[in-house]
Amino acid sequence: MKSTIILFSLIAFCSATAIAQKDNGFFGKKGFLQVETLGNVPLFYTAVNLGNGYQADKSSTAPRLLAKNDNFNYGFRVSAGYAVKRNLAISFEFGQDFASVYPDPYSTVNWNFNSYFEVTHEMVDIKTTVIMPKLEFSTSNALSPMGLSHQIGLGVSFSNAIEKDYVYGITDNYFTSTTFYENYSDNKTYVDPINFQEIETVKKYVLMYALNMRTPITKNLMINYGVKYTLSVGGPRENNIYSNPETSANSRYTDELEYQISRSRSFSFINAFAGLTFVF
Amino acid sequence: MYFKNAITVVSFILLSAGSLVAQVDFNNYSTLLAKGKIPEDFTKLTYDKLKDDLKTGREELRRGQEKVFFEGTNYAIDEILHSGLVVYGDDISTFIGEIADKLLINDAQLRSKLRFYTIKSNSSNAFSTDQGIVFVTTGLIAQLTSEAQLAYVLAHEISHYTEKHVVATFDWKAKNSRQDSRIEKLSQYSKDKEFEADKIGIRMYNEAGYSEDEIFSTFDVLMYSYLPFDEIAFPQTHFNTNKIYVPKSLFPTKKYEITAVDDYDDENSSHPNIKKRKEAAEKEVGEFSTWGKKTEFLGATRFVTVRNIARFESVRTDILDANYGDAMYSIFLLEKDFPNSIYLKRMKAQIWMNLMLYKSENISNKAVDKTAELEGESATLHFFLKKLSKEALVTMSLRQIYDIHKAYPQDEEINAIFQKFVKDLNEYSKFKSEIYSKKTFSEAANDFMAMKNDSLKGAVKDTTIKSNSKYDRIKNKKNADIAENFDSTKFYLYGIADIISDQEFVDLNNKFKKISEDKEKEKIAYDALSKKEKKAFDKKEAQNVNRLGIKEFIVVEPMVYSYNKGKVDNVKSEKLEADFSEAIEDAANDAGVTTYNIDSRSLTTKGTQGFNERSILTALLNQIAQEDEVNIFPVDYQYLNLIKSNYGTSKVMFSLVEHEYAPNISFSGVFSSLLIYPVLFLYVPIGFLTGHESELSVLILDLEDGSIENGVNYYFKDSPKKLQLGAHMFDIFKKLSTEPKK
Repeated sequence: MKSTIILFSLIAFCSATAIAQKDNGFFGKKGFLQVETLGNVPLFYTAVNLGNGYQADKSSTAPRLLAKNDNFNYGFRVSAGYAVKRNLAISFEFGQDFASVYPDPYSTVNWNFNSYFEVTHEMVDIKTTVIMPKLEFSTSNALSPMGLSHQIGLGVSFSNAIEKDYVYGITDNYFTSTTFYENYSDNKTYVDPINFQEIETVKKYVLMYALNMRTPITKNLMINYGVKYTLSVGGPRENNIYSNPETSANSRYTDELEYQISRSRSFSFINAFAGLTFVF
Repeated sequence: MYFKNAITVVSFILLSAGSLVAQVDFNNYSTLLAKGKIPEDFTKLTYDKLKDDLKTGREELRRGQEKVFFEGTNYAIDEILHSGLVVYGDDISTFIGEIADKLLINDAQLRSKLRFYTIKSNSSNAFSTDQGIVFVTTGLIAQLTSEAQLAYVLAHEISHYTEKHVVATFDWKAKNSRQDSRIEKLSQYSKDKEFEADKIGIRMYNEAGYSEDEIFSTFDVLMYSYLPFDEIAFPQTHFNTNKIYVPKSLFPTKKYEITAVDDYDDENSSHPNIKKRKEAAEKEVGEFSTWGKKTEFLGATRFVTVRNIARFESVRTDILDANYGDAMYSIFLLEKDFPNSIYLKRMKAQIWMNLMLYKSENISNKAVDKTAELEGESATLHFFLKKLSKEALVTMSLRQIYDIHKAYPQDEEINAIFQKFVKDLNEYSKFKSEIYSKKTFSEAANDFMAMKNDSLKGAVKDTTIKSNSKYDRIKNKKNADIAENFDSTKFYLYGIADIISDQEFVDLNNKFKKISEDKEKEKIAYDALSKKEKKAFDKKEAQNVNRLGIKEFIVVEPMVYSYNKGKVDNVKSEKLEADFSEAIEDAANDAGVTTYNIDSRSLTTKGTQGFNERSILTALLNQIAQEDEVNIFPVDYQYLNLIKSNYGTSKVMFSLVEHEYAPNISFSGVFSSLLIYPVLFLYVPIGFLTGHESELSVLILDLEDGSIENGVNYYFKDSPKKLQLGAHMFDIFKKLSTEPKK
C-alpha cells in the first residue's frame, strides 16, 4: 500500500503533460453509432392536467372513455458520432418521441355558439421528431466514446398530432343530468371536434443535457444508459377564447391542442434511456 | 570393519554437504534469492486459499467471524509473501528449517505443517501465522550470536502456532470490541499469550538439548536489536588518506550513550518487557532438572555464514530504504572481516552517490539518523554525515567513488556508478572543478605555515599579488591554491587534487558538463520565447510525450485496490487484478506490443526464477519510490542486467488501479431535493451515475539505470472492468510504441 501511494505521486509528478497528444480511441476506434430507447413518466404534465385524462376502452362493442392519465412516454434516438479527443466527441442525433396530450375536456360553448356542449376526448397521441447536433465531453482522462460523458445538444423538435379514430363524448347542451360518459359520438351524429387537418406542426427549440454512461461489452459494442434533461422553448401559446371570442370552437380546439402539444414537450424534461453503441 | 568405514564415509559426505551449503563467496556476494521448487504458499491464489479455509471452517469462531478472520489473515499474509521481501529455499530459510527439524524431532506431524521463510527486513523480528508459516527477518538473524538463540525464537513462534494464539486473539478482539480500557486489556491478554509461548517454547528448546544460557542472551539480543549488529568505535581518521584529510572537528566530541532499559513501561504493549520475560523464563528454566550444553548443532561455521548473509543483506536493505548512514556503518563493520568484498565496495559507492543526490536536493536528513536518535558507536558516523556541508559531501562522494573506481576499473557496476555519478555531479550539484586546489591538504597547510613563518620573520611578501588590481585580488581570494587563502574548515578543497588532473575524469566531466550547459541554454532560449512561440513549442513537445518507440515491455503484475467505504475490498481487488492482467496482455496484442508478464499468477509455470525476478523488480520500484526528487542508482544492478538480457528489453511496466464506487447521495440531499421537487430528478441520477472514481497509473522504468522513463496517470469516472481498462491500456501501448516525432 505504501509503495502504491508513492507510485501514485510519482506518476502524477511525471505525467503532468501526458494528455495533450493524439489519442487512439476505444481500441483504435473513434466512430460510434448509438441506438437507444428512452422513456419517461410525465409526472409534471399530468400534474397540471390532473383529472383531465381519458383513455379509450375498446374492449366492448361500444367504446368507452375511462378516466386515466398518461403514465408513460417513450421514444428512440439514433446518433452517430466521432471521438475528436480522448475526452471530447461530436455527434448528431435523430430521434422520435411518442406521447399523449390532454385535449381540453369540455367547452362551455359549442362550435356554432348556439348551444352548450361538454366534450370529453380521448388523449391525443403525438409524435415528435428531434434532430440535434451534440457535444460530448467527460473528465479529462476518460476515453471517449467509452465511459461517462456529459452531452450537450442544441436542436429542434417537430411535433404532430397523430390522426386516428379517437373516442370522444359530447354531452348535450342545456341539460346535463345524464352521466357524463354515456353519450358518445358513435351513437350521435357529432363529428370529432378536433380537426386534425388544421393542426400545424409544433416546432420547438431544444436544449439538451445528458449524462451518458457507455460500458463496453465487447471491443465493438457497448451498452449505454443514463438520463437526459431537455429544455424545450418556443411553440404556440395558449389561445384565450375570452380575448378572442370570434374564434370558432373547432379552431379553438385546434389551437388548444397545439398549445397542449407544446406544453407536453415543455414539461417532458427528464428522460431515462438505455441502448447500444456500436463502435467502429 | 566395512560397516565402520561406511559410516565414516557417510558422515564425511554429510559434513561436506553441510559445509557446501554454507559455502558463500562474500567477496563476490550477490543478494539472497529464493531457491528450489516454489512452495504452494506462493503459487496458490489468495481467493482459493480463502475458499479452502472457509470449507474447513474454524470451530473456535462463529460463522460470520470465520469469513472476516480467514479473509483478513490470508490477504495480509499473501501481501507479505508477494511483497518481494520474502525468500524460500535459500541458505537462511534452509538453516531455520533445519533448526526446526531439531526442535520438532519428536513431532513429525507438527513439523510437516510448518513452513519457514526469510524476510529481508532490518527490523529484528519473527512471527508465526495461523496457517503455519513462520517468518524470520534477516534483521534478527544479523543480531544473533548463536544458533541456540534462533532455536529459542523459533520454539517461541512454534508455540504461538500450536496454542492457536492468532485465532484466540482475533476472537478476544471480536468479543471485547466495546470494553472499557480495551487497549490495556488487550495488551494484558496478548502479554499472557507471550508468557505462554515463552513457557512452551522453553520446554521445546530444552527437549532439543540447547543450552539454557542462550535463552537469556536472546532477550539481550531483542533489547538491543534496534542498534546496528555490532558496536565498534568508528575512528575519526577513517576517511583520511594521503589524498584527503578530514578534520576531527567534523566528528562528535562526546559519546552517545545507549539508552535501552529492560523494565520499560509495557502497559500498552503486546509483549511484556524484557525484565518480566527474563524473570518468567528463569522460573520456567528452573522447572527442568537437566539442560543441554549445546549452542550449535549445525556447526558454528554454518551459523556465522548464515549470519553474515543476513548482515550483507542488511546493507542492501538499508540502501533500499535510503538509510545510508546505517548502511555505511554496516559496511564499516563488515569490511573488518571482508576487506576485499567487491559487493561492499559497490554498495559503498552507491551510498556515496545517493548521499550526494540527497544532499544536493537538501533532503539528506532523511538518509541519516536525526540528532535526537543518535545512539551508540554508529552515532559518530551519522553525526559526521550530518555535519558535512553540501560542498564537502559532494567532494567526499567524488573522492570515495573515484578511489573505488580506480581500485576496480574492470567492474561493470562500479564503472556504471562512476559514470552516473559524474553525470549527476553536473546535473544536480553544478560541480565546478576550478574551485578546488591542485594541492593536497598537507601541501596547502605547509605552504600556509611557511607563509605565516615568512611573515613573522618579516620576509618579503609576494609583491605580485599586491601589484594586481582590485578585481584580481577579489578573484584571488577564491583561489584555493594561494597560500594565504588556506582554510582548514574547507578541507574538501584540498581533497581531489589528483582527480581534477586525471584526464579520464576531466574528459568525462567535460562531456556531462557540456550536456548540462546545453540543457541550460535550451532553458534560457525557451524563456526568451514569446507567449505564442512558447505555446507552439509546448504543443509540439506534447506530441512526443509518452512516445518512446518501444515495442517490448516486461510487465510486472498490476496493483489493484478496490475500495468499499474507504476500506480495501480484498476479494474484489484480487478478481479485478486478474481481469486487469488479462486486459493488459490483450491490449498489448492489439496494439502490436510484446509483453513479458512477471506476476504471481504465472509463478506455477515460471517457478522460482519468475519469483526472484518479480522480487527484484518490486524492490526496484520500492527503492525508486523512496524519493521521487532524485534518480538513484538501482541496488540490484547486477540482477537487473540479468533480467534485461533474459527478456531482451530494459523497459519495465508497473501499473496501479484504484477504484471506489461511492454515489454522492446523502439523506440530507434527498430530503432537501424532495422539498424542491424537480431537483430530486437531477440530484439522484447524477449522484448515482457519477459515483465511480477510477484511477489508472502506469509507470515505465528503465532497468539500465533505474530511471523513470515515463509515467501516465488517468482518472476517469467509470467502473474499471476488463474492457474499460483494456481500452486505456491499448491507448497507452499505442502511444508508447509510437516513435517520437523529430
